[in-house]
Amino acid sequence: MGVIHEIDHGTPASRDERRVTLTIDGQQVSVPAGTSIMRAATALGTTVPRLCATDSLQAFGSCRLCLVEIEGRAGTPASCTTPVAEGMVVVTQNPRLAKLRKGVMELYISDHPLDCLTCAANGDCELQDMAGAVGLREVRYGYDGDNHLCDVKDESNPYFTYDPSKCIACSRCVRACDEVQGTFALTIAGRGFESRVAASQAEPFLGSECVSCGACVQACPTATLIEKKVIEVGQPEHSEITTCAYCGVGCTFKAEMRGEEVVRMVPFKDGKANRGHSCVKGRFAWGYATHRERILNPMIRSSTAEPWREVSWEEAIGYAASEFKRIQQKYGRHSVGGITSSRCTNEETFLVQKLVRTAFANNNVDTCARVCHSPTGYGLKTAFGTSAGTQDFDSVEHVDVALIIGANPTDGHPVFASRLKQRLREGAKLIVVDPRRIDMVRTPHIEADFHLPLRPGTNVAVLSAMAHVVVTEGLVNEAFVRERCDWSEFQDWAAFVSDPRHSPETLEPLTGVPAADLRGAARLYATGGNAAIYYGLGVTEHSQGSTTVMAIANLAMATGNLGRPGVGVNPLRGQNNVQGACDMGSFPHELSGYRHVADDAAREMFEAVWGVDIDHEPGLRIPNMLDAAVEGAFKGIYIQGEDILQSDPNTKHVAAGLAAMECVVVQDLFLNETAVHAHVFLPGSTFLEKNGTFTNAERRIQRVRKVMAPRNGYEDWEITQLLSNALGYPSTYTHPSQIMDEIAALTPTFAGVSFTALDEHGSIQWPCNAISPAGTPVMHMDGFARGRGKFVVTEYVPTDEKTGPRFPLLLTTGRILSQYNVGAQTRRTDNVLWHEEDLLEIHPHDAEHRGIRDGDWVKLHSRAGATTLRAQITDRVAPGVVYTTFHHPATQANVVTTEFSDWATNCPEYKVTAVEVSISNGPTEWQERYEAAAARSRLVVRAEPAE
Amino acid sequence: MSAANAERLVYMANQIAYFFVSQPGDKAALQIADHLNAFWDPAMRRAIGAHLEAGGEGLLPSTAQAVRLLQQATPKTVERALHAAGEPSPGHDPGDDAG
Ligand code: SF4
Ligand code: SF4
Ligand code: SF4
Ligand code: FES
Repeated sequence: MGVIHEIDHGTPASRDERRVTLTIDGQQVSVPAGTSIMRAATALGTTVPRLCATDSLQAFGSCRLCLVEIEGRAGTPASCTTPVAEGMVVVTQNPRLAKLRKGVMELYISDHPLDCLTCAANGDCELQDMAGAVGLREVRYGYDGDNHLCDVKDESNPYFTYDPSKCIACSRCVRACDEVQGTFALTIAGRGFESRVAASQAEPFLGSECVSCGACVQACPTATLIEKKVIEVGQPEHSEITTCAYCGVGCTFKAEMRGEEVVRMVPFKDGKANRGHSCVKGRFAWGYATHRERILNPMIRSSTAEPWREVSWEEAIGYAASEFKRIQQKYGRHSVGGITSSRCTNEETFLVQKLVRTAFANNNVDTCARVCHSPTGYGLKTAFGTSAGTQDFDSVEHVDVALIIGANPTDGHPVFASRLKQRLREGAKLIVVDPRRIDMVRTPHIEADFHLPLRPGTNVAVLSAMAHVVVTEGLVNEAFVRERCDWSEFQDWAAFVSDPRHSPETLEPLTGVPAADLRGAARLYATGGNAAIYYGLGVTEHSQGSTTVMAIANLAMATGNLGRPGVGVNPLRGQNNVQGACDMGSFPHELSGYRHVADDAAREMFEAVWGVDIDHEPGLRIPNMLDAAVEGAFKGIYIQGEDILQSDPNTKHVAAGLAAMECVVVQDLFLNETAVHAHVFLPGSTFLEKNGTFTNAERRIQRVRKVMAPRNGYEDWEITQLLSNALGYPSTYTHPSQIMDEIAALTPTFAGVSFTALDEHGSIQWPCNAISPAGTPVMHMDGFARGRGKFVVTEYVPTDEKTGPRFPLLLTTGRILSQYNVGAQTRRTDNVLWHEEDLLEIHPHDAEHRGIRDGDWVKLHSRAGATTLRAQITDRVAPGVVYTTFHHPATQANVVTTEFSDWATNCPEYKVTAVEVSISNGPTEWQERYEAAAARSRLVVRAEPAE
Repeated sequence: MSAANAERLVYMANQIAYFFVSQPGDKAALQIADHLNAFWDPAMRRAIGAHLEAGGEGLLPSTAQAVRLLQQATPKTVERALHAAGEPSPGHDPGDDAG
């Protein structure tokens, strides 16, 4: 098993549908019009020598190594920049071309340090390959001319180095940063011999605009830009295709290995979500797997006041099982429950909910999707009949107008952002609806046509106003609505939004959005061609989250922007497998595939396979479990891969709920914040150590492949299986593929899914069944899942979280590129260099008014609690709005968020909290007390080593 | 059940009511009841029922009506009545039959 090498076709594929036939080296070949000669040659298996061309980038034509001869044309044109033509006759190899190429190579080599044997790229260097390919045997100019051997290396980036002495000025890195990533951080400074790559204004990489996506490193043909890990451990010797375990984009990678050590993660060109690109997290931030703080042995303690005691797996599992049984005997069947993880695989998630429904014999199972996209499920199911996003990411290539609402793609979904930016640079229009001036509003070569900086909490009002414009200005796509939707419901809705109280002018004082901009944005969305809505947690995490999702669906239906590529309603999912966790039956009322537990037919299917009776009543959701715990009715919980203490709202309430339980079992990589309240700790495994599948935001099921043995001893599904067996419900899988087979047998939308099918297709977008055996990239093509699309009246109900004299500012929360969610993984990598602490963004007016200067410690308080952090003064936020992230436990931003939640799903209202900010000189009492208690509760008594 | 918990259940049920009351037609009580059946565990439904019997302080009229429905009819009956009124049950309807 070697390293997987993908073919480099030299230039990108042409999308032209016309075919052109030509002759290359005497052989006929037929390719799409617009294809380069270089790419056409690869169809015949011929690789024309090249240095400045690679198929992720547009041809540049600078190195002159790829020269060819064309019958009837003078000279030797570059094959990378010359498109094919009908009847063309090309020669790629003859003595004249060989001589020319040798000459070019000689020039390159004469200025190159010939330390090949000790170079980190040895064996993976295109310059070396090309010297071989052109048969270079001598360098007539000698090696004594000017060179760059003394140029200083830039080692500022924690993950890669830049060694200018090896640079051949091919500009692939510059183009990768521009074309693939869209950051435009690099330039070639100087001319001729002096030309060198420079980051931003010739700054070190770390301090520059660079976001460390690594596209330049991947594109560099030499060792100039190279991963530090490759320098450290050498070239990989085998690789596996696997899927990123961070965000919902679902990038696939080649995990390139030496033995069981990861050398590097290289984005996979055939990855259908990422198409060969990635962000800093997926490519570089996997070092947490071997971090010294990772817990590798099971631990128990009878009270959280005691230190942890390392025990055997048998003892830990036995103790957890006996506690759950004792609790159920004493407090009843419903007194325990479980939480599945959106970070674990589909198979693992399915197994945890199965354990709850079989071994616990209740439906008290929930997942962290509760706190992010549960309103998407409710809203889209109501409107369309199915709760998933409608498109694939490739759809973005057909978008004419993108409407981003409540999402910050450059930070939250970076690879999607890069793909969207490519489309925007091609001329697509952009509308951003967000309280903050997110990066998308203005980035190199992109400027949003409209930015509607609404007041947090007024999403529904803004969307109703947009709908008002669409309806009252006659911009409805009536043919679509009549054909695809319920006409009478449409009329009710149209009458509702047409009411003058929904006009942009009436709503302007409430939303803060200038009416003229809002009208402009609505017109653009309705009339600008293919219009697609992309949204995130800024939509869902509100008391009207579900209503907002329905308002989005209404807008898309009214303008006919559904059911074909380039349009649609696209929730950008947070965690890698949040879609999968929802699909797998993690909600207390639903079995896998979104079937209610009261649905007799569905339940009976499961009962037949599982051999138990399933409760036909819904169980408790996470906030309900915590409420019930505080009440004394809920006493034990099994939490796989979630840190609810840090990620859920109103930390003090969560802490009180956990503290009231008698058995809290946490299965995770690290002693997370929730583990402070745990009695049993089961060490979990990373995505590198397990087999399974993740499902990304486009419903794409992709394989996760094991590249090393689990350092903790077991894959997570095996641990759940041990617990199930100890609880008395037998579980005997020997491989996750068997769990997927069970999922497929019980879940109609997964009917055609299996590990074999996934290996064959690479990935599959559900629904995958007899009608669409290869999956479904775009949904609702011929009609909505529910039949007719449902327009829903979306009355704006202001949140009860209101500003007033005590709490005059609105806090909204978000995330940044280099960190992930509660930061448990990314904080344990060098990504901390980009984000050492959470900061509070505050507008200059609000800061001045309070005497706050940039970098000051400030106290942020709401009626729920207070925390301190440093202020960052910026006009990215509007006056009256403050913003922070929640990546660091020391900040405990959720101490201040409240228990208000979405009306339909209890998804917490993270995005609006009334707060006050004042100067402070250090951590609050709660932070200090918490830190002390947390440190105490992390003490571990190590097991005696066996003699 | 504590007063704090009752208050929270009332708050959540009324929040649900605000949405359905704003919908056209006169089906709010059915829709609220169906929503509670689909998403609230039986203990929570019993608790809000007990709160209604104890005077129902804080419940909006349509919420109270829905809670009464919970007590009078089985979840299936409510769901059927809702479908008969031409409304979907987003909580109960299978979301799985997409093609
Ligand atoms: S790492 Fe990415 S952002 Fe940084 S210079 Fe390279 S391509 Fe540009
Ligand atoms: S750093 Fe690498 S990719 Fe960039 S110009 Fe130099 S050799 Fe080419
Ligand atoms: S974090 Fe998201 S965008 Fe970044 S590599 Fe992973 S899946 Fe891709
Ligand atoms: S590869 Fe064609 S000019 Fe460099």
